[in-house]
Amino acid sequence: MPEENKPLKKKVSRREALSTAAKVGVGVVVAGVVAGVGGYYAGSAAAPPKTVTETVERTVTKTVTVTAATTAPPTTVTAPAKPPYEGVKLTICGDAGHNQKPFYWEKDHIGEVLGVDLEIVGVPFGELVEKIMTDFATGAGAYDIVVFPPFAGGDFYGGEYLVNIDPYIEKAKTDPEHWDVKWDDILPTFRELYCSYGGKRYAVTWDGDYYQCYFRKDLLLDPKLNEAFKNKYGYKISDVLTSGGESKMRYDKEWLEISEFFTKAYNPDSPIKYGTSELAGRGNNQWHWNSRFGSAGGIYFDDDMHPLINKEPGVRALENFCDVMKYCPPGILNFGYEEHKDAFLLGDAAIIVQWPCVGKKGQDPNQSKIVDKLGYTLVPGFEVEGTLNQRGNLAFGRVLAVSKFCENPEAAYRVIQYLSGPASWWATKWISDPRTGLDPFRYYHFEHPELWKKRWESDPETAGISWDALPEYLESSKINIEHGFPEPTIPGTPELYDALTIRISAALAGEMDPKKALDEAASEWEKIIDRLGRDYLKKAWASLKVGWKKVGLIE
Amino acid sequence: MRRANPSIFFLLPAVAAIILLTIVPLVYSLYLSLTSYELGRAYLGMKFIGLDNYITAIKDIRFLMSILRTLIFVAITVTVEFGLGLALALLFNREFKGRGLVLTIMMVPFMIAPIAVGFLWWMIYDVNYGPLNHLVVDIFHLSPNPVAWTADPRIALYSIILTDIWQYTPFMMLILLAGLRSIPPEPYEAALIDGASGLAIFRHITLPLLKPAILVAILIRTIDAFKVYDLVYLLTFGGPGTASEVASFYIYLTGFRHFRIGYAAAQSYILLIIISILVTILIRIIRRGAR
Amino acid sequence: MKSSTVVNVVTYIVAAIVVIVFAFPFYWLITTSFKFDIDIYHYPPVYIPFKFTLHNYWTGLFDLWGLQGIRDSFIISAMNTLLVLALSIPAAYALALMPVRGKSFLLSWILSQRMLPPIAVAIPFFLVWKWLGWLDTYQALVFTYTIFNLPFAIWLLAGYIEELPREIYEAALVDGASHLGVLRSVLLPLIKPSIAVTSLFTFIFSWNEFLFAVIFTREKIRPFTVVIPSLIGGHVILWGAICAVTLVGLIPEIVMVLLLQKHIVRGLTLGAIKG
Repeated sequence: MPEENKPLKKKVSRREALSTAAKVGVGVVVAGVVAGVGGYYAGSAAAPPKTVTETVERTVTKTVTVTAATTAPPTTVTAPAKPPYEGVKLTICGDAGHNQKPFYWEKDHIGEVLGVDLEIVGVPFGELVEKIMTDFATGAGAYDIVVFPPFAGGDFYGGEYLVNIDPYIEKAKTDPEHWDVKWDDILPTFRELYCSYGGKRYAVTWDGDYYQCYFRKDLLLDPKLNEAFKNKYGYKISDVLTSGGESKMRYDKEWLEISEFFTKAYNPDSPIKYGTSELAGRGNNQWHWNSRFGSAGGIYFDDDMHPLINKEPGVRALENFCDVMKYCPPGILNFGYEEHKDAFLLGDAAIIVQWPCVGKKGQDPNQSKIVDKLGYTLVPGFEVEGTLNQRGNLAFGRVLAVSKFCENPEAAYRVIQYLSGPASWWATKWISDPRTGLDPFRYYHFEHPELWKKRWESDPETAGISWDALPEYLESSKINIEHGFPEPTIPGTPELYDALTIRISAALAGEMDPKKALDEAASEWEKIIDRLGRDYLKKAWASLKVGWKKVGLIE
Repeated sequence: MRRANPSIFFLLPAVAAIILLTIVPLVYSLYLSLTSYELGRAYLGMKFIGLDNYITAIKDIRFLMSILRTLIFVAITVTVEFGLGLALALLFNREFKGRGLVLTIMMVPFMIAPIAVGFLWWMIYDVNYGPLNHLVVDIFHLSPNPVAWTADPRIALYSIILTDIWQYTPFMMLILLAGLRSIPPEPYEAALIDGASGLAIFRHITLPLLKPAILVAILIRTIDAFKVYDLVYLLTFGGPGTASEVASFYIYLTGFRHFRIGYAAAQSYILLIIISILVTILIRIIRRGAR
Repeated sequence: MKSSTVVNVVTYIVAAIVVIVFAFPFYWLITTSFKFDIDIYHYPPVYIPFKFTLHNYWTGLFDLWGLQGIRDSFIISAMNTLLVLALSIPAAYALALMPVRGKSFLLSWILSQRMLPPIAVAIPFFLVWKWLGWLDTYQALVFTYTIFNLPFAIWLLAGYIEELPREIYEAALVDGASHLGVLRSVLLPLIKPSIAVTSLFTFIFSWNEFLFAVIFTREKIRPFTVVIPSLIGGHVILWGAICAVTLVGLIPEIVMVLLLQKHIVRGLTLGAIKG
């Protein structure tokens, strides 16, 4: 019996190998043909980048502030006898987790007030954009309202997958109670830069992300340490920054010196281990580079859509980014959001640039070891032609938009208006809640800190929060927003970012020269832009520049 | 003596299932690989471009480098997992108290969802707060400074390899252990009577009789190792730079971040060809080796 | 005598070290699931959480859909395992027994299905399921996973059946039994170990799969591998909750292992004990 099996096995082995080899042989032949034909197609190399004209210098003016009318905190919205959209079912899709809590908190009330049955879909953060895009591009149309970060929105705007909400905003003039989203109350930085495309409005801001500078008040404003600092560098830290106000730090001078002073390896007397920390990890480092790039007077593209990232401002930005690495904790090259935030909140770094949530979390003893020790100020900058230009990247953020596949866009807009409007105290309910990652974006948020307190008290989970320094935080936030520098939001931005971030990462690791890294990134960008259609992107960029002009980033 | 072949009817459901389920997606994705299709970019149109995507892939240095890294990854993980797994299988091939419990614990690594493994080792590898560095630096003094497991471009890929080894060595061990348990005692007894040494027994009796198990273990592991991407995604995101960017990860970026579905499909099929060649070679080596 | 004791002791020590090294991350997983947030990123690391909490379990399982995740994953994996078994057992029988022409080709073709790169077929599959209206349903994933599990299942089962002595069922066949009858009454009891192993690996693969799970589901179905990364929310990673949900997700697998324990090691045998 074993004998009977053995010959069969041998046969099987030879035949099996033979047939697999045959399959593979075919594949190899195909590959060979491909390679041979490759020579014929070789002429499809990308056109070499043209020499570019002068960079458009950006002005340094602050944004023009428009004060919104200060209204008293609203009472709750009463449900009408007959909700206008009875029986309408809408699906909202956003990143899963705590950021979706507001939808859950308001679901029932939306049902009462609008009659809408709201289905909530959560997608893991990293997969959100591709999930939405798959839904749009394949026409599945399962999502009616979408939440997404503006930098990835270019393809949504450009692909015409979103509903233009101008008509609804217009309706607010005659019927403000039901349609007004108080557009002018949204800070110009957000509303002009991230919500419009091609002159039309498609989205309403939901999360105002911007960069702010946080520092250890107890250390950087300590008189004794300031004396020691003065002895070394000739000025006091308190001369160049104030909590809740402006700062006069330059990336290539004060920032480096403060970081050096507080890094134990360079100053054994430092009371803290590391001076600073950065988001240096691949896929994350573009934002801190953007901040420096903007501060150095950079602009992403010229009018012919040639990338300008490798010109002098870009190189200056990357070189300084590399210089700071030595004052950061080990493992910095893979730092993501978590590690960067923890470096500061767990007491390892003295001063960082980070998102607004660090302020909220700094007060939570569950996440922070430095409660009540935070100072807030304006991000550093570069000196450009004699003036200090300070820009923080308006990194990430979220907007709400209506999908063109939605069968009842009117109802969808009303839901957005509800979430963003008086019923939610103009979104103050969400941005003040430390359990969400949503941050201030309206003037209203800054003018009513008492509503923040009201929110905390209204929920047992958040009732214990105290934040004496909230006014300082809000003041500093407002200044930082006004100094915001946007991300590129043209179609294809995620791909552009990928080409850029791997090279920034390589430069930070010391594996690539900064100039060479940016040159390579720029030539990759050229290829991508050519593939996506230069004229198409030129139009997109031109329409975005309108917003840039409005907020005073360019003349 | 033997009834008519039932093979058609018995095989049919399974084969039909596979064909039905795969034929449409396969053909469609092959077709896509010959087009310039990009997700959500209807304005670009879906032009038939023949083998352009494949040519671009072959000329794409980043892609080629990612394949190289994948090959390194597969070679090291499969070899170490096999060697270590075999050693462990031999070790556990004897009765001792608590063996059942130990084996169950050893199975946990490959039962945990890979995405959770990624998160777990993200914590463990944390340079400043992770237990691994604590053990390495403060407890066992193996290194004066914290090791940047996932942040040092020179070792990032190897950290991912280490995690994979932790995850799948027990898998190898299990298959090889079962193989060992199934070897009948007669050949061993005969060899001992003949006075053969331990090493000779291992080489000429154990290994050959273990061949089927070795084949299964190595093939399955090799095929799966080529597709690793969850670990890369969570631990290093392919970085620093592209130090740990393996082919599957780059293809994922191409398809779902850059939305170049056509190009990603072409890259995938190139990878498939490479896997097939490698698997064929492996089968021949294992089947032939240890006659 | 003495040398064998030394060998035994050394074996025990080496075994202990190995087990500790492999078990440590698992231990870390367990302890982290009980830690307070502030202890999770703490230096020196907290090896024994004297201060522990069940909050992570509550958050992960009840507040953030961990329990639904476990339920949905269980349904998908169980259905998939049953489907794969139903298809693979007859196929393996046919493959192992019959000298089918082109059998080796069939075998290698089936194996190559596992080599299929998921990314390449994700969008085409998405379109197929969308066309069928099966997005966000159990069946989409059950059928998708079948493609990857079936090859391994057929291979394992065929290999095991091939090693069985042929007389066992040849006698039954000669007596006039149909192939189906032989399969049911003679073979099935004999290949229980292999079925156990196949079920385990199939179940584990379906249970732990992520890419297709995230692409094909929305909110009706939430496999737990999709729930886990959702625990990154609002600029905070809920490490404790992730560990808690992961651990609870391990339970069905461990239960399976314990139930099938005595079969599993035998089931991986690719050459049954002769005689």
